[in-house]
Amino acid sequence: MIEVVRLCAGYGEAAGDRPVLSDISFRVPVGGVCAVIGPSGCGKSTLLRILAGLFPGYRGEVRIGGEGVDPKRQTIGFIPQDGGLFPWRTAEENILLGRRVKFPSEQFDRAAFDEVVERLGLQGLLGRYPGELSGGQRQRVSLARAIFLRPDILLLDEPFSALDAITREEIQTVFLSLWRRYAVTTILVTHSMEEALRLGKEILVLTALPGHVRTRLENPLFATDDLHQRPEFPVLSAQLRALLRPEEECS
Amino acid sequence: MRRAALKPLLGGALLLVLVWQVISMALNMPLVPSPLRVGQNLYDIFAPSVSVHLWHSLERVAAGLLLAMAAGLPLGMMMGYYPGFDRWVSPLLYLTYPAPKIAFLPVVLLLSGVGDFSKILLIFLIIVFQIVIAVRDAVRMLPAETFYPLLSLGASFPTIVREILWPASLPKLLTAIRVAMATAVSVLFFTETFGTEYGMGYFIMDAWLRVNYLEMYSGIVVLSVAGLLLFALLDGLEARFCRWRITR
Repeated sequence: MIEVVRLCAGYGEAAGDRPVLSDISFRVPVGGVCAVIGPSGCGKSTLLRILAGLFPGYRGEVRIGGEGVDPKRQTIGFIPQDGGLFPWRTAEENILLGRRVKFPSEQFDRAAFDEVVERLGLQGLLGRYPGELSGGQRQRVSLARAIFLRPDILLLDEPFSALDAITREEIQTVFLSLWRRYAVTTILVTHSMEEALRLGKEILVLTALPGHVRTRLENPLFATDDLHQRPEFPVLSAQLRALLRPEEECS
Repeated sequence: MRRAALKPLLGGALLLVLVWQVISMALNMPLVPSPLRVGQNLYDIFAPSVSVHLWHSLERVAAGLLLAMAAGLPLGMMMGYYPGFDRWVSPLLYLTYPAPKIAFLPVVLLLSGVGDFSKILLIFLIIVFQIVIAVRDAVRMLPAETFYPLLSLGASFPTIVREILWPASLPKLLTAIRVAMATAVSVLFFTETFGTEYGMGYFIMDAWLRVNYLEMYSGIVVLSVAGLLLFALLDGLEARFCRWRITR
C-alpha cells in the first residue's frame, strides 16, 4: 500500500521557495493502479520522484507498505518518460539489470524471466540494443525490466507519451495484462485523459502549480478495451476536462 | 581493423609509396632513398635492432596512457557526477590545461631525472587532461533521468560507476585517447633524443647524426606503422566495447 499524507515539496534553498506540491494526501491499496493527471508542471513527476526516494526535500508523510520511503529496503520499479533503458546494454541485459542490482547474490530465475519475455513478446529481440528497437519495443523492454524486478510498487512517468496512437493502445493492453497477472501496486503519471481512464483504477486530478489534489475519482472504465464505445466515456472525459481547467475558469 | 577499412588503407599506403618513389627518382640524392631500399634495410635490421627500440617506445606510451587513465577516469567521473566538486576543480584544470606540456620539460627533467620516468610523466601530462575533460563532459551530458532506475533501487556509487558512468564515458574516452595519442608520440620522439639509448626517437636521431638515411627512414616508417596500429587498436576496442553505438 502507498500512503501519502499532507505532502508538500518545492525547489529552491528552502522547500517553500518555489512550492511544487501542496498538501497532497491519497492512498493506493495493494494491487491498485492510480493514474495521476494534471496540467503541465503541476508537480506530477516530482511526486513520483518523492515516491521513488529520489527527492528528499519534502514535508509530510510518504509510506510504502507502512514504512517510510527507502530505496535500499524497498523494491521500487521506476520507468521514466524515455523508458530508462541503457543504450549500452542489450534488451536482455536491460531486463536483468534491475534484479541483478537489487539482489546481486540471487540465483537467476530462468522460468520467471522466460514468462515475462513471452508475455511481452520480446523473444526475438533480446540480443538487440535499445537503439535497434522501435519506440514500442523499447517500452516493452522497460516494462519487462520493471516486472521482472517484482517490485513492491511500480512508478510510471508518462511512459507511453512518445508513442504513436496505435502503439500506445497496444502497450496499454500489454500493461493491463501484466497488471492482471502480477497485480503490482502502481502509480502512473499521465497527461492523457484517455490513458488515465483506461489504466487508472482510480484517478487523482492535480491542480496547476503548486499541485494539490483537486479530486479523486473511482474509475468505472478501468481496463476497458472498447473505451470509446462505453456510454460513460464522454461523460467522464468531459468531467476530467472540466477538472483540468484552471480553478478560476471553473468558478 | 574492419575488412572494409583495409582496402582504402592499402590504397592510401600504395599512393604514398608511389609519391615517395617519384620524389626519390626526381631528386636522386641519398637524402631521399627509394622506398624499396628502405624496405630491404628495414627487413634486415627490424628484428635485431628496431624492434628493441620500438618496444621501449611502446612501453613508455603504454605506461603514460595507463597512468593517465588511472588518474583521469575517476577524476573525470567525480567531476561530472558531483557538480560541487567540479566547481572547485575545473578552474584548476582550465588554468593548467592550455599550457604546452613540453614547456614543463625542464622542470620534469630536474625533478625526475633523464630516465624513463620523465618521458612517461610527459606523456601522462599530455593525455590526462584530455581524458579528464572528455569523461567529465560525457558524464555531465547524461540526463538526470538516466540515473533514476538505479537510484530508485538504492544502487551504490560503485554500481552507478559500473552500470552508467563507465559505459557512457567509454566512447568519449577512446576519442580523447585517439586525439592525444598523436601528440604523445610526437613528444615521446622529442624526449627520446636525450638521456636514453633506446626508443624510436633515439634510433631516428642517431641514424640522422650518423648520416645513415636508410636507417633514419626505416625508423620513420616503423614509427608511422606503430601509430597506425595504435589507432587500429583503439578502433578495435571501440568496436568491441561500444558495439551499441556502431549497430545504431
